[in-house]
Order: sequence, then C-alpha cells, then structure tokens
Amino acid sequence: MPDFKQQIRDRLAGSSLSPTREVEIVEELSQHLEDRYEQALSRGATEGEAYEAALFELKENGLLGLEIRRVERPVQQDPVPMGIERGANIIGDLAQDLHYGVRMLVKNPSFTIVAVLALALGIGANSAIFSVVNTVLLRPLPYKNPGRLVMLWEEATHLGFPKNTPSPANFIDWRAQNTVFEAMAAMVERSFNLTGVGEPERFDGRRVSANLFDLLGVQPQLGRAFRAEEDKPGSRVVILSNGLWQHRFGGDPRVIGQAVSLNGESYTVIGVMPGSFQFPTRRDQLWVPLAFDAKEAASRGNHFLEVIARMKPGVTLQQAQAEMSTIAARLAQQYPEENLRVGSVVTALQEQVVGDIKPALLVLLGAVGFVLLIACANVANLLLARAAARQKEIALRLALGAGRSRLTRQFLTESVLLAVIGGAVGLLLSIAGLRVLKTFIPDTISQAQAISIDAKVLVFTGLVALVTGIIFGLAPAMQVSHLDINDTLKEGGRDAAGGTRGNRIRALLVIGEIAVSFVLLMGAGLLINSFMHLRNLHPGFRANHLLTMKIPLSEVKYPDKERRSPFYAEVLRRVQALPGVQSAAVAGNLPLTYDGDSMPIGIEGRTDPPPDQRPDVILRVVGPGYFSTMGIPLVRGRDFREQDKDDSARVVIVSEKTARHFWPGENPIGKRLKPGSTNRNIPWIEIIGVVKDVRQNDFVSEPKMQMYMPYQQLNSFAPNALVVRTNVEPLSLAGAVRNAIWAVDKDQPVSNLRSMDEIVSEAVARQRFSMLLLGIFAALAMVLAAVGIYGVMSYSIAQRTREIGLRIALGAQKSDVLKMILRQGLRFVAAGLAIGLAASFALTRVMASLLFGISATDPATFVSISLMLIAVALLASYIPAVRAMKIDPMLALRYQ
Amino acid sequence: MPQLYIVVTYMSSAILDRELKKGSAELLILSLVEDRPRHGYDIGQLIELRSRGALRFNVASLYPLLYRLEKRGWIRGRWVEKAGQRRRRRYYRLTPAGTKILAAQRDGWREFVEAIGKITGIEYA
Repeated sequence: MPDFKQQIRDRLAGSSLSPTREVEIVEELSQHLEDRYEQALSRGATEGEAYEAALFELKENGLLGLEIRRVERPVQQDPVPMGIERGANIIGDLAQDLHYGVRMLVKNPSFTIVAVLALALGIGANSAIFSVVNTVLLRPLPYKNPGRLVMLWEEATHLGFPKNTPSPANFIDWRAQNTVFEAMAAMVERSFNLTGVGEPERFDGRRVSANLFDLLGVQPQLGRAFRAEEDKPGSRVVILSNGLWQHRFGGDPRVIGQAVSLNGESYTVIGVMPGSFQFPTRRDQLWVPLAFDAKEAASRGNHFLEVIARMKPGVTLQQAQAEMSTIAARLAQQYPEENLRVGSVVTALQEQVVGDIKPALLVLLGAVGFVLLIACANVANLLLARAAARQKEIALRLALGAGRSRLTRQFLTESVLLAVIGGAVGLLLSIAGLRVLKTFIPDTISQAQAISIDAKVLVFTGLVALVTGIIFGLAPAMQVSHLDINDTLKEGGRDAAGGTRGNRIRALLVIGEIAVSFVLLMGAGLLINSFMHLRNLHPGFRANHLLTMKIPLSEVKYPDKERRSPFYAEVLRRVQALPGVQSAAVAGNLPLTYDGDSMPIGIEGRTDPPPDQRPDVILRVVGPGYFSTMGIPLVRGRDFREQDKDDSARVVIVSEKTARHFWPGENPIGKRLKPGSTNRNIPWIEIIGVVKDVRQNDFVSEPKMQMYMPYQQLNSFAPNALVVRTNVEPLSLAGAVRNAIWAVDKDQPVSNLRSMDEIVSEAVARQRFSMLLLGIFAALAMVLAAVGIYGVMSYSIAQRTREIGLRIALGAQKSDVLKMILRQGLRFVAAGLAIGLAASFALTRVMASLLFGISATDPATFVSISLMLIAVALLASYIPAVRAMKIDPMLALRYQ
Repeated sequence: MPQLYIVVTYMSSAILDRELKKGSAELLILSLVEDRPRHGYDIGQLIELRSRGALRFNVASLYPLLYRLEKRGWIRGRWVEKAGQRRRRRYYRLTPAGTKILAAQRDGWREFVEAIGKITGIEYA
C-alpha cells in the first residue's frame, strides 16, 4: 500500500494548523485515499492506475490547503454563547465579559480614544487635586502625635486681632498656670547674617524655647537639642537645618562644636536637624534659644511670640480652650492695662497650618468632581449612541435566551473596563500635571513640595475609576433592561426601538452637563472677577520700576544709629550715582513683606481711652526720600529731611486714615503724639506731614492706620531694606546695586533682590493659584460640555435625516432647518442654564470666603457666563445644523 | 441594486456551479448522517452512488465541508475503532442543532425546487 500521508502534508503546508489537528486531518484523509486505492484495485485496476485514481482525489491544486485553512482558522465572529444564563459561573462570565469588552474597544478605536481621553482628563484632574488635598489636608504633620499639638493665640477681636501673637509675660503665665498641656514653647522670627565662611549670607530662623524639639518629638540627626539651661541670655548655641548644613558646610559631621559667626557674634553649632524637618516653615534654616532677658520677660504689651503646646493625653481641644479662657480672664483682671478683654484661642496645629488654603482646596476638589461628572455624561452619551446601534444584536441575544441581568453585567463590565483604562491614563496625566501644579503652588502653603502620588492617591484613583465606570455604564445598561425585543426585531430602521427613551436620557445628560459646567464657569468667573478686583486695587504706591532688597545690618558692627547712618548715606550716594537709578531710600520694612510693629498712640491734650478702645497704628521706620522713591503721595506738610536727626525735634508723618480717625475735619500738622500712651516717659513727637494710605500688611484688606518715623531718630529700629526707583527694568540693576553695597562693606549680606511688582504679585499668589486652577477646570468642563452638545446634536440629526429630507422636499427653506436645529440646541441650553443657575446660587456661596470685592451672586458674572455658555452651545449645534442643511432630500428619502 | 447586477454579470458559470454545489452539499451531508453516523469515505461514496455519478466530491471538496459543518456544531465527528477493522475511522453524526438546520434546509430546498418547477414547467414525480 503506498503511503499518501506525505502527499497530503505537502498540500496542507501553509495552513498553519495546530500539530495535533494536522495529524488528525492527515490520518483521516489518507484513509480516504487508501479506501479509494483499494476500491480501484478491487475493480481490476493495476497498482499504478489505482495510485493515480487515489491521487486524483487531491486534484484541484491548492484548493485543499486553502479550504482547510479557511475552515480551521480561529473564528472571527463574536463569541455567541455570551449572555446565556449558566448559573453561578461569575468568574467565567467576567473573564468572558472582559475578553469581549477588550475586543469591542479594540474594534472601535475612535470611540475608545475619545472616551478614554475624556475619562483620563476627568480622573487625572481628580487625582492631581486629591494628591494635593491628601498631602496638605489629610496627611498627618510629620511630628510625634501631631493630633495633640496646638497653637495658642491671644484674642483681641475688639482691636481687630482675633488671633494675636502673645506677649512674653502672658506666655510665661500661661505656661506656669495651665494643667492641660504637657509642654508649651514659644518662638519668634529672627534672621541671621552668616559671615566668616564664604560669601556673607542671610538666613531666616527662629529664637525658640529650649523644649521646642522635645515638644514636637523630633530629635536632631546630628548632635543634640537645646538644654533647659541654655534658654537664657548670653547663651550662644545654634542648631542648623539640614539644608543649611549641606549648603554651607558640605554636610561635614565635624560641624558639631564648630563656631560660626551669626550677626557678628560667635555661636557654637550643637545640632543638625533631619532633612525632613521644617518648622514652622520651609524658610527656617537655624534655631537659637529664645533666651528672654529680664525686660523682655516682663513685657506684657509687646505681642510678638508664636506659641505652640502639646496637650496631655486625653485632653480635648474644648477642655484646653476652656482652661485657657479661664487663665486669660484671670490675667485680664490682674493686668487690665494690657490685658483688658484679651482672651486666648486654642487652635489645632493642623488647622493652623492648612486653615487658609482649606476652602480653596475643597472648592477645587468639588470642581474636579464636577469635571469628572461631565466627562462621565459624555462617555455615557457615547455609550448610549453605541448601544442604540447595537440594539439589534442585544435584542437577538435576548431572543436567544440571554438573561437581562447578564447583559447588564456585560455592559457594566465594558464601561468599568473603559473607566479603568481612563484611570490609568489619568494617573499618568496627573503625574505630569502635578509637576506643573507644584510650580504654581504658593510657597506659603506648607508641605507644597511634599505633594506626591502615594498609595492613598492610587486607591482613590482606582475607586474613582470604578465608580465612574458604573455611573456612566448605568445609562446604557438600564436601556438594555427596558428593551422591547419584539419591537426592536420588527422595526427595520436604524433608529430602532428605545429611540425616544434613549433620546430622553441623552437630552437629560446634556442638560446636566450644561448645568454642571455653568456652575463651574460661575465659580471660575467669580474668582477671575474677584482677582481682577484685587489686581486693580491701588497698593498706595507705584509698584513698577522699583527694585527692593534686604540689607540687614550686623548688630555688632552697627550697634547704634551713629554707626548706621554713615553706612546708609554712603550706600545711597553710590547707588544713586548708578546709571538707570532715579532715586533710592532705606526703610525698616517694605509694604507687604512684614506685618508686625503696631501700637496704640496717645494724643497730646487728650486722656487715653480705656485699653480695649485704643486701636493700633502701624509704625514704619523710613529714611529721607522714601515717599518719593516709593511713589507714595504726600498730601500735606513736608517729607523727612536729612536734618531730622537725634538732636532736632522728634517728627512723625501719619497716613490719611490715621489723620481722619484722630483729627476728623482738623489739620493734624503740628499736633503731637506718643507711641503707646500719653503717660510714657518719652518726648512728644510732632506730626509734620500726611501721606496717602498704603496697603502695608496684606494686600486684600483695607489699609490700616499708619505712621512713619525717621530712622535717624530711633535707636531700636534699624532700616534693613533698600528700595531703588529705576528708569530701566529694575532687576537689571541688581548686580550693580549689590556691588555698590559691597564697595562700602564687603561683609554686608544682600538678600531678597526682588522687584516691587513681584512682591505685590506674591501677595495675591494664593488667589491667583485658586483662580488659575478653577479657570483651567472650568475651561475643561466647557470643552467637554461643548463636545457633549455637539455629539447629541449630530446624533439626533443623523436620526432625523429622513424627516429633514422630507421637510426640505416639501419646501422647507434651509434657513428653516437651521433655525429648527438651533432651537433644539437652545432648548437644551435653556434647561441646563435654569438648573445651573439655581445650583450656582446655592453652591457659589461656599466660595464666599475666596472672593474679594464681589458677591457670590454677582449679576454681571451670572449674565456674562450665561451668554458665553449660550454662544458655545449654539456653536456646538451650528456645525451639525449646517450638515443638516446640506441633506439631499432625494437621498434622505431613498434611505431605508 | 446596480452593483449586484454587475457582479452577477461577471460571475463565471464555474463559480456559480461551485456556490450552488456548496449550498446543496450541506443539505446532502446532513441528510446522509441523519439516520446513522458515517465516515467521510462512506459519505463521498453514498453521494456518488445515489446520484448515479452525477454528483461527485473529492477529498479537497468534501473534507473542508465536513470540518466546516462540524465547526458550526451541526455535525460532530468521533474516532471509532471497530472490531475487525485495521484502523480507527472518524464517524460523523448529526447534532441536535444540525437536526434543526436540516429541517429548515429541507423546507427551503423544497420551496426553491417547487418555485423553479412552477416557473420552468419541470415537474417531479
């Protein structure tokens, strides 16, 4: 018997069968050929003839391999058994659903890309904002048992200070008398000129109670913390931040015990803090003992401390507050002169750190939630449109016995799959977004740099994706469960059954999108508007063309005004000689950079009012030429002169508000006052001029009362700022000005070289941050909503092709068609606007604390946002409308 | 539809023949395995025999068709080793799904033939 197997194998070559299947086929076919061979032999053929006859079966060259290949290759159609109720095989079903879902997504790449992109934007925005919220609001502060840490403030609301920095004497009494705190520490800002090693440099730091580090529960990574006995005047020890240690000492561990020169005095380095430690802010680079001298310790009217305390285990915030109020009341009785009506406020440290930014972050979190809702609505719309296209398929499956719940599950699996992919892409977007976000986050938000994507953010993103998938998958899934099989199978057209229902859901989704984007746009509009208000505020000086810097003088080298004056005079002479410089002046502290130094004043010839009715006046120490350089207009009287010295009469210039308050309707020039009260043992100071009000402490609130004194007449207030008015771009002169200063004293640190514009802009950084982010999210929302409107209009026009064709055929003008469709679009917008308007009235109220100079229901913003949304919606309906106008009535009617 | 018309015009009679054969071949095979399982050679022989040589399938046309029907779940093949035979053979039998299809195809074919008969005047006994 000849062997036919090889002949068969040759013909199957290239069919790419699995080896076992090939063996089977070869066996079966060769048997056939053998049968044929034997049959031929039995009919009397020769072996040669029989062999030929058998091989004849394989004729039609190439056809065998081709046919087998066609039959045997994997099936391309969708797996049919899907949807058949098979009891409890949930895992198997899920695997099948997933498999099917992936195939559906791969088969419709444009749908998948659009949906994933919309979801990724929505979910990514949520992840990014949530990681900020997570880091700033949720993550515990990096101290031991941070929940028990509180900040303590004096409460002097009647003077406009709901949270005032406590005075040393009050702090000492609080510490001695309380029973609720394990420990209490105070600190006060101080900056240090580091000299002797390399370039002179200035660092911000704090004088702190010796127990501060113990209280926080953080130990130095190198060396030791302060000892109790070091908390006294004359103790010269310092603890460095990790950054300063790396930056100035190259991370050399031998720095411990080394002497460094700070403000001209020699300090011994006793410790280096870990890199993760920042307290109270990132700017603080070194810490020295607080070390009150006797005079400071007794001072009760001088409020400049920040006080932190750790509650005993089991003590609640309310108990702590109650006891502190009792102590404050006792102190008010004991020291009515300073403490009358002064209370005490206990604030959780966490609240203190995040308090300001919290409303903005929560609003942003709400905003991104809305963005995600809109994205969901869009994807739900896409899915609905697709579900409509798949209705035949679904009805067929139902007819073949698939369970509705099983089909619903299939739909949900598909949408969740989509959401998970969107979530993954969104996570990538949020990583990129965070990098950009960090550059916008103002420095004042603590821990801004620690913002990162951690496990919590990942879990959050996963949950959001899951919930999102279920939300936008519900609509099409619900449609499945309401599908009428008979109608769907009977009706021939593409606009099959469920059309009205589907259209209603789609319309509701679009209306919802418009409503939600309206709310978001309103929020953004209000913030933008209020930011404009803010930027249009006049600071009280001309901020442009001003170069500013800090030149803090060493207290050792320049202990008094006699030694300071020549230095300033020489510096000013050299700076003013520089080309491009118009004028220059020195000052104690520039506006918007400092909020200390305010006090009540006593007026000559009047009795002091009771202590709780004496408003504070901000004191600023300036040099001659300050007002003209800053561009602060002099309203009355004269400016300071070089002649206003120690030996001449003491003089003061007050702001308009001060003049109005104390001398309403009078000319204050020539009147005399004393800082503090009338009975202080100091000479009367005469008012020589009145200047315009300046926004000194913060940009947002109304200017407070102010007065200015010449530095030449004050020993304890050394100017440490230089301000230069230039004819050119201010920062271009930075190098030249610095060199001019170093030409006078090569050891003089020069820091914070900034233009005044920069300072003003930083003063509204937080508002800008909120505005920018909400603006971005609102824009995103509007684009998504526009896409949604466009999608729904296009879909409904595609559905109405016949109707429109008929109208045109019956004589409707193209403009009628256009009007009809735009009217439909407008109906959506009107409904969406009505809902959005109501929601905005309710929701924008939560933003009230973020707004400035504008109410949360600002009518102008409401109107302009409405108009904008209407315009966008019209545009989104216009494009499909134009397409509808071009419908050829003949074609449209022949359809179907 | 103009497109379809063009296609028909250019369709060669050979292709038409093949398509017709394929359509009817399914019916033939299903009918043959209806009463009992048969192997491929048997099926081929029976078709040739009962049509008195008018219809003939060779290996290249028969087996792909069998595999296709099996793939669709209309017939099921099984290797069977029978006493006295020197090798195992693959027997095909009708599945329940195949039974339904067979019934439907029989009806369809009957209607078709009747229709053709009415038009052409060819009558069958």
